[in-house]
Amino acid sequence: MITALNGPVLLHSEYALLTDIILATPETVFQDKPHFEFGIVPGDGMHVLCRR
Amino acid sequence: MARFDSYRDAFPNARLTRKPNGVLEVALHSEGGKLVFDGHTHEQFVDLFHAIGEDRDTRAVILTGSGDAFMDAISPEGFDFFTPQGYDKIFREGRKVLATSSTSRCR
Repeated sequence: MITALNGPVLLHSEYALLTDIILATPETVFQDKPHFEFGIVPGDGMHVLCRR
Repeated sequence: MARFDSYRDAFPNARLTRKPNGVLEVALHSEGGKLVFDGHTHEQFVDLFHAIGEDRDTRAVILTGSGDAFMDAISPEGFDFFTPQGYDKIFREGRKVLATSSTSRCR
């Protein structure tokens, strides 16, 4: 499965990052933005994924 | 192809196009434009990735967004974060997406 990024990924990056191939430009931004804003714990698995 | 027809138009926030060579493009969107993620898409994408993973006629998948970002907008609409039942639903959906993502890679 291939992700072809058309722009920034500021939430739910796991959808994009769990594929086999990720196509991105050097300017592509990944972030886990909304959880802190909503006052909830980040629980999409990003804490595991970001370490890999 | 009968199987693809059964789910191709089932997802309001994902446009699915499959070529005869078995390559499926999945474009996430809201009303044809950039996706605004919400509680409804959180639920919908569980079924989306499951349906894609179960279709053995699809040989490769290209996942992309619409507009100028893959995913940068979120709305609390459709989300129930702060009751036990509401959070349990979110947690179960999230876990299913992680499980589906890792198993559909194994084909």
